[in-house]
Amino acid sequence: MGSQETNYQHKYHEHTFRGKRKDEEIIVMLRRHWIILLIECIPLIIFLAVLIAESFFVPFLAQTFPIEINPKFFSLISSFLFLFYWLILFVVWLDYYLDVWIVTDQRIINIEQFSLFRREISELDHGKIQDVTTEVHGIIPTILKFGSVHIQTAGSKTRFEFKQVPDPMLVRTMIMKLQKKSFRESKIKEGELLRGRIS
Amino acid sequence: MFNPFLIVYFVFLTIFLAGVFAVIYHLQVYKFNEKISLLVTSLFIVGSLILLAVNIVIAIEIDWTEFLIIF
Repeated sequence: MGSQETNYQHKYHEHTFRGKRKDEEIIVMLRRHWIILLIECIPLIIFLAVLIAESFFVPFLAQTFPIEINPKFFSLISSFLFLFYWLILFVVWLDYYLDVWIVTDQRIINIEQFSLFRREISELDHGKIQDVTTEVHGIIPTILKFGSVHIQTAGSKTRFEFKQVPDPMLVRTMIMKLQKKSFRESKIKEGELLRGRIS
Repeated sequence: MFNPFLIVYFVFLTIFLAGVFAVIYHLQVYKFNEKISLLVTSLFIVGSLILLAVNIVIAIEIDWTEFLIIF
């Protein structure tokens, strides 16, 4: 293992995930680049500004309303908007935080969270990797060094895709190293098996 | 007697509470790091409780009989 991978292992020693094997070590845990979260938060930032402005105008709104309604009722509506804003903020963060690609010393796990009630998990052994390609597309991804990593698997048309992850070149190199290591180990095992059969 | 606004209030409150439980469930069950999970869950619960308390105080101050529909 290279020094960078060793650093990653040190970084992730406190991390775990559901279904982690006892002898499994996390090499890297990848999420989308932070700029993606920031872009997703732009509507929320605008909405917060509107909410704050609206809470200042509540007394005036109550006066201009055609039917006489208690101003406290408008405050209640405003309070509900803040409550749901708080909830949506965490749902957006969870969607980002739980969307993760985990590279361990044994396999690659792809966990995709779609809102709160849809979650997809798939995994791939290093030995099944055939080809790894990276894609950095656009001005912002080039400047901020993030992009996608596509992993072509053996015997299947589907590809594993790490979406908008930071430093895709480094990720590709790391996965290829793990694939080569796995290939070497499987060849050694095959050799041992054949020798055992012959003798 | 029928108070549609009060019913709507409780419906919204129930939706919010269901959302809170769903977020806490995800934070606790699918956690990747114990420390981050604990920190975010605490922040979320404290924020939710403050906002909920403000909401309930405002709701108590409202005279709900204004919206009463009598058959």
